[in-house]
Amino acid sequence: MFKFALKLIIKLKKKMKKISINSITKNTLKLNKIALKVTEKGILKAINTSENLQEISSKKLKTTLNFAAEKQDKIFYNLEQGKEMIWKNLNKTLDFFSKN
Amino acid sequence: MATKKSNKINKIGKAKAIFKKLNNDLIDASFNAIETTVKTGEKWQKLTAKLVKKTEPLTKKQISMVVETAESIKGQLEHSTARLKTLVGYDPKMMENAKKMVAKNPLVEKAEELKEKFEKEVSNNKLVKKAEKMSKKLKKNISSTLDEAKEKIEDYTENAMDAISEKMEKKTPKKTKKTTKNKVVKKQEAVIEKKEEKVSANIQVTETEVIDNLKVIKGIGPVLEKSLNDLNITAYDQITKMTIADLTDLLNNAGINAQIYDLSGWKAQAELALTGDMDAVKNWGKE
Repeated sequence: MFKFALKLIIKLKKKMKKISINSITKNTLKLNKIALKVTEKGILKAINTSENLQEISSKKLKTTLNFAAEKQDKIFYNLEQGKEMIWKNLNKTLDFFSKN
Repeated sequence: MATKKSNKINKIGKAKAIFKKLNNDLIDASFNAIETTVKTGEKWQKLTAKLVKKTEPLTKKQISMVVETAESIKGQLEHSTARLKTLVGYDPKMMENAKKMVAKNPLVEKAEELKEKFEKEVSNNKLVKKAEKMSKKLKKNISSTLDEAKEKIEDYTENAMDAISEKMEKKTPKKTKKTTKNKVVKKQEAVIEKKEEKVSANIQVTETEVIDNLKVIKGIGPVLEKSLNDLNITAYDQITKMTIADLTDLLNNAGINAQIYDLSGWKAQAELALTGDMDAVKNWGKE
């Protein structure tokens, strides 16, 4: 009886060992799966947010560039008008002095 | 006895079997671990590849954005320069003509000639040349003084080591301290005497009754003249006959830093003074 009990205990121990090894591997694999999912989700979210930011920044850049171009046009228009005015006045004064 | 032996053998066999089982278990465990790590690595690799693919359009967009902004800025700049030219009435031919006029202007040509002359004069200036020579001499002097200092330190350390070793040798238990001390002092004195003999043997100054005014030579003041007189140098003739190396050694042994003085100049001035051309000696360095 004692011998039989001993054999049973040894068999049980072996089974327990196997069970523990299997459980460790299963748990590690599960953990790895979770980690993979979490990282994938995080990075995908980061990519999405960066895409949104990129779109916003590109829009802003375009608007600022257009604004700068408009300003430049206005400045040149004013300058050209000023130049024309000066020339007209100059011609008038020259005529005046030539007549008198 | 036989039963005991058989028991021992059984025990050893059991232990061997346990070790074998342990080893097998360990091998299995390590194999399992490696397999799992490889599998997880593969999964991570796949994930990174997937994410990199997803980020590719993002980078492309970024690049296109940068290029577009650069192009638009360039276009704006070109447009503004063209408008500015029309506003000011810029004519490239006119500009070229103006440049040619400026280049052909006699004033500009004169200014260039003056600049060249000035550069030549500066390069040929005696003061500049002297400054260059002085800097070279200073470099040489610094290196030589450093070497001398090294040699002196080495000599001093060697002497100190010799003295210590002699002291150690002389310190015998039977002899009194006074006798050993006296012996060490005597030995040190002998070493110093030997050194002095060496110096005197190397540099021989022939004494003369002629006493010249050495202060005429540039670089020799009243103090240096006295110290030279103490070294039995009183005449121009003595300086002319000595080599520069001997002079430097003599001065260095007397505790005077010879590197500061222009000894070659001393020799030349002494030669002039011997011939009686005192004006040349007085004007030494001015010419």
